[in-house]
Amino acid sequence: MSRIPPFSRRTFLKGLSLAPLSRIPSGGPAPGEEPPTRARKEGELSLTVDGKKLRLRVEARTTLLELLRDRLGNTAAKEVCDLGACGACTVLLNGELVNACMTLAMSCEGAKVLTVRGLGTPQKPHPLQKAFVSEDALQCGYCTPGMVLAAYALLEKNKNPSRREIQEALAGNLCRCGTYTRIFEAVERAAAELRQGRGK
Amino acid sequence: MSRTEKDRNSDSIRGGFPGLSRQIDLSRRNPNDAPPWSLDTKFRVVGTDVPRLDGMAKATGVAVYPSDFRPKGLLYAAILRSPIPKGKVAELDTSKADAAPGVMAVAVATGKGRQIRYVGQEIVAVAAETKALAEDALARIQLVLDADGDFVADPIVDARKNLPAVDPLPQSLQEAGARGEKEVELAMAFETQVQMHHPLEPHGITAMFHRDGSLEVWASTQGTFMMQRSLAQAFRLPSRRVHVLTPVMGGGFGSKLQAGIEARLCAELAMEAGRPVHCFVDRRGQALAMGNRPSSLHWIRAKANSGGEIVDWEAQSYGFPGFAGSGRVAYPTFYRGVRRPRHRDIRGNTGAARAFRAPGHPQGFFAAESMVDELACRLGIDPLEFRLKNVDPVHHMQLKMGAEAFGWKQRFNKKPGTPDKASSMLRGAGMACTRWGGMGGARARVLCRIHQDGTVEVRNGAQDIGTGTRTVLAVVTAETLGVDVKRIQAHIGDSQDPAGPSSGGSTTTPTLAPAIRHAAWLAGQELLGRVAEQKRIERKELSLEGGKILKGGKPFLSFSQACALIGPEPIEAMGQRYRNWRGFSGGVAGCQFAEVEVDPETGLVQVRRILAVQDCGTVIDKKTAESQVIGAIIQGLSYALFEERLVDAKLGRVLGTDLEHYRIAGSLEMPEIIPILNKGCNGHNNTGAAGIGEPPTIPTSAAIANAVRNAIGARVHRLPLTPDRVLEVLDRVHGGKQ
Ligand code: FES
Ligand code: FES
Repeated sequence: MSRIPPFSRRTFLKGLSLAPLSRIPSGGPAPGEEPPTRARKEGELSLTVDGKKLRLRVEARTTLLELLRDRLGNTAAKEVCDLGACGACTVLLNGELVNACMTLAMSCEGAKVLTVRGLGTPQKPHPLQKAFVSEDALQCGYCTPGMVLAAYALLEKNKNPSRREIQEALAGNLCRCGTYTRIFEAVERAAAELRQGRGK
Repeated sequence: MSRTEKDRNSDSIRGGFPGLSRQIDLSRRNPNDAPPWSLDTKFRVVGTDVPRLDGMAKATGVAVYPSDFRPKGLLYAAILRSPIPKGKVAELDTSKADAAPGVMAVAVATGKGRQIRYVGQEIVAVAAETKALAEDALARIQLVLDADGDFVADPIVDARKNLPAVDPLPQSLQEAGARGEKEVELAMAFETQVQMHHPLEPHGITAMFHRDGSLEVWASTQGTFMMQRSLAQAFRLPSRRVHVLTPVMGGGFGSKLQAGIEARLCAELAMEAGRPVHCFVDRRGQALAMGNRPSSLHWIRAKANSGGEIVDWEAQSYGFPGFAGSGRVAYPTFYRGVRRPRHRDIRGNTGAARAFRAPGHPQGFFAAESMVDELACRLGIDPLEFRLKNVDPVHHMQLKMGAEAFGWKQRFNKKPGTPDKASSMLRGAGMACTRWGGMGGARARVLCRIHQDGTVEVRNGAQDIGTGTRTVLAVVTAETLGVDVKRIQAHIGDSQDPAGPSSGGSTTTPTLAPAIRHAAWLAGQELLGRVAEQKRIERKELSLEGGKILKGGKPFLSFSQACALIGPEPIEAMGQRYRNWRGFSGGVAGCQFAEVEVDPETGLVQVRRILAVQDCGTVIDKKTAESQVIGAIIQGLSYALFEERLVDAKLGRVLGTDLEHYRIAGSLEMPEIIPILNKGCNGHNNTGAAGIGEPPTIPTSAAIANAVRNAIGARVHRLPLTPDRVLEVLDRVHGGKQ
């Protein structure tokens, strides 16, 4: 048996290289020592979220996702992997798809952020949102806001995408319930509807 | 619209097993129950495509998931986990974390002197003003561990060595094929991997104690009432003082049945801080501590005679559930000759297994269906014909129906291992069967209220894990009363409403639907009573049909007119779940067919097409029922090709604890999926509904593996079917050259 001194999630990476039976230097405070206090930088930020202008103070390390969910209470974008691997936190930043979990809030100065709430409401849904419901392109629905926005970004650029193009556009979005094929159908349906609507 | 799509739309609920489904013993039916629906009932709403009721709230981002709930003064929790697989907590000092900026509460999960049994075990939880501050505080916890180097990282490694002898692997296509023998006897080993649940919404709750000492909890759970009971017990409160809310939730797949330690810690933090606390497990915690489908190892010896009958079968299986949980497996014993394995679980120092969509079944069915398939291949009999000879009558019908719809004859490769001329790809087709219980029958009550304004309210406290429970409430009520779905307000996911089941074992719908029907039926009867009273006519002259009140069989009042007579006090009826009747079948059956393409250069397997025939009794809502089949197939495909938890043998640490390195099937890997709902089994209750969430995930991996066998000409014995494993077999049977 050997002793392993303090350990924390933040030192996990360091810990990975260590043999389990040796005494390791720690990232946490040694007994009697004061832990380092992280200097917390803050700044002013102005941005527009779903058409609403905002001005607020945020910590430099705050992500756009934390800002939306925890500060603004807009929980349309979801936190799933917090690492840019699932697309559940997808929002549009000045019209471009981004993972809000990988975007620092401070980098959004002056930006326009669109969440799925800004795209449509239950009373006035976007055709994509309607099609997701009618095609049952959602089960638990936790991936849905990200999926809808990814599909929206695709249709903005490509009015008549092929099945393959839809698949590629959604490749960054994970659905654990397995709704993909339904989603493809929903996107095709919405695309057709939008084309007709605009043709008029 | 492609031809298959058209076929599907016109005819995706196929009916019945003539002569079989009707042999139901109604003698145990409770006389107080609502009259049962039968195979011949003409439905108006049931079995149609009613869009799920909460779909729009989800698609527009306004649905509030438990992890979304942001009450005033909310604190965020973070959890410190063990970095070692085995040992003891030697010292633990949380005072510096307690004093850290923004920290409002600290709760200990594994205190000084307590055992550590796996990497990821919860040690301490901290609640602070923001998530980042809570994580900062974890770095100030002084923790000293006594590490025990004598741990078991992955017991399958040793178990492999101790397996009984198996046949030598075929070294050529010829050896792998039929050798014109009269009978075959084979001994083979099969292996499945650890699969992680990874529901997208993490495990957790938001908890707050009210001034009166009661506890309110927003829980991402598969069992609102189970959560209520567990927390009531932990905090010594009467159940009614714990209020659990799960209006919607982001998936569970079996891993959210129990109230995990994170729930208890969260409530403890909320109590200490006197403020609401949000405690949802991060992705790494999900991978380490929130359950998994355990790996399994199988040794099977089986014999088939020249007539294509399985005449002998002997099997030994092992499951590896981690430090706790069950690794048991199930075999398709509906094949004549297939027997259950002798089974042993071997524990190790990794996170505990939890129920995972059809626990034990995909593992066992992969092994046994591979063996059944291999017997057919070695005898030189078409795997379809071989199965038809050995299977029970229900699967027999389904296999024939599925084979025709799939085009088995054209798609089955008669020259396995020979690349397609045009594409130079190896193509093949395979199949496998499934069976599951899913009859439901736990105690449940449903409240139905008919209001003066003609709206109908229906309530049960159970949750919806993505299957569409809310929609089931509305559909069954609308059908029973003969009214439009739009009139129904369905309420679920609230422990203050009548008790309902946990969502496990594919039993939510078959448990609830009969109670819903009973409640709505009682409410309808009461409505007639009130009409009779008000209009001073004989009650027995009245009946309710197609949403109309009939008098002496003639239209008398519309539903709205009748409701207007009931006064401000709504009609209230409490429906119950009576016990299941007896019948010819105790579960639902199904089968699946897969078509694959294998790249001989890279070993990459691509699934082109999967067709499923799946029975679930009465289909309550067609769209959501099909979605269950599609989702189950996609999870099965992901299990077959990609998912695999790896553990570092030296450190006992799980590798790939994020979603980047643990691969789950994505949009690019999707085949064409054709679900055919086949109404055969009667659910043995007043609606005839049975479960569908789990059964269609059972055979997918086996069907894909059998298709790969048909494509490349030899068998891969281990899941997932990764390119390296496929190439290894290809190299062997083709002598390293294509
Ligand atoms: S949560 Fe941002 S990509 Fe997964
Ligand atoms: S619907 Fe549940 S994750 Fe996509």
